[in-house]
Amino acid sequence: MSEWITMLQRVEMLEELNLDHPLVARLQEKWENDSLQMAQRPMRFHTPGFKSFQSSEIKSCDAGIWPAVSITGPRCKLQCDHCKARILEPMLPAESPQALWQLVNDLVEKGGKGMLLTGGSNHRNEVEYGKFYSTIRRIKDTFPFFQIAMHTALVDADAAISMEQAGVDVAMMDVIGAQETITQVYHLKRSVDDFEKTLALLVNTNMKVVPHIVIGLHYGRLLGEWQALEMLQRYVPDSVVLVVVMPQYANTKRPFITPDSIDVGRFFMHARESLPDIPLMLGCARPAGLRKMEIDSYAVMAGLDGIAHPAEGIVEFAVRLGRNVQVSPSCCSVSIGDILGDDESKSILQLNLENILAHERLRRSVFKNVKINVA
Amino acid sequence: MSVVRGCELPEDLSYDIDGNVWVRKESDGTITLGMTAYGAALAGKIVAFTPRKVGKNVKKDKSCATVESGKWVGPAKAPVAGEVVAINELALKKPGLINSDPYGQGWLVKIQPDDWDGESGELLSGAAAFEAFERKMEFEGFDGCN
Repeated sequence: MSEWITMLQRVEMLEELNLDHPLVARLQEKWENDSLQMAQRPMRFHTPGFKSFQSSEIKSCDAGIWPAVSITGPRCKLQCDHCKARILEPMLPAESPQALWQLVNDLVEKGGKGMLLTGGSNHRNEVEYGKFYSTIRRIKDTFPFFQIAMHTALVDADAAISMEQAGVDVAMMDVIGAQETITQVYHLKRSVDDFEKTLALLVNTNMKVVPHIVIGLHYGRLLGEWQALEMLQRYVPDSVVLVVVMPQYANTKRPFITPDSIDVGRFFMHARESLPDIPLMLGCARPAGLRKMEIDSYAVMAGLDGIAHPAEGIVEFAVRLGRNVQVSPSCCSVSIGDILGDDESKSILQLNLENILAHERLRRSVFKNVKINVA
Repeated sequence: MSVVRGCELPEDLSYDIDGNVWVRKESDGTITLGMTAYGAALAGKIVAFTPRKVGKNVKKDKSCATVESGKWVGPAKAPVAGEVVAINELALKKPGLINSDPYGQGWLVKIQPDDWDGESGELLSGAAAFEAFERKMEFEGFDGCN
């Protein structure tokens, strides 16, 4: 049994997880070879307010600091098989520029730091932001500290420039690498090249670009994810967010299986090796419950740089592994650079990190010099 | 059965108002614990329920299960300390039961309390509980269960 499996079993909430021992051994081997210097990378746990979140490790956080806002309310014309617009339902609606301006004023008054701005797509997988750009510019001019992370969807050159000129801080898009997925899951008459062109246009702006790869997007199976990574090697973004498809949102007539967590873990390993110098985050969207615990455990072991809404026990596991743990109330897409500095992040950990580390030190001399930083 | 702002609250149960959970003392000395209809409505459609394992000890006011919906993830807190003696396997497979039948098939865990008499004093039942829930709903701006 690998040492890491034994270590995992010391975390009470994770002790009965049934992880793949050969995969864990490979991840440990890569870690110990240290070619990616994973142990030196901070591990940042994010608690954006898209979702009310509380665990035994991280205190409840204010949902108003970083909400998700939809410019189409709950409506999306695309009706992809994996989502059917369900992901928009809990978001705050702002369906006119006036409504967006009022909403942001209210958010700022209540201490809001930023928002995820998104909306349902048209039939070409474009979110029609046109009439909102001047309001976004007004928001950035009036509240320069207020961060805007925008889900761009597919764009042309004009849209990319309009987003940049409006002052959008972070541009996000889903990168899809398989034509079958675009055609069958998204019902789109667009090509893989269209996604690559969008990526190229966005990285050519001054916006920070944080593409997402949805793992298991082809009905729960991995298909174009490796090609998506290759695109990201050609057009290097500021950070990458990996998410895992959530079958509960899927169309029941075209059901999704829950992606195998071992496949997801292997993809984490491949992504880490493919993009060694780029911050790699595990985003909010992923299956819940036991599968989430498995996926999050692999994410920590694969050396990902951040996890949003971590499962129970994951913070402790990261500490035991020697990761420098930090907590941020922001969206993981804005964790890059100094957008939300550590001094703005409030410590919300409920764990005694030094006690955990002392316990781990008794078993692993390698941890003698590990320092813990809590933002 | 009493109803507060559309949320059913059985009269034969005890409630932890802050934790939004109900408990029922069983004849064998164990307690059965679940989310209230109010708590389930706040969470929305529940998609996962991850209880502590049978045989684990939970402290008073600490998590005995994690419950997750599309817009909410949080603990169900045990209002008394004790050992988890049973978990609801059916709700593991069908977490939506926590919404649809919170006081029946949607129960969460059974606990053998360490000191029921010493720790259960803060639980409320009957009119006191329903008034406390009404105040909580008012404070939280809760519109009501559907």
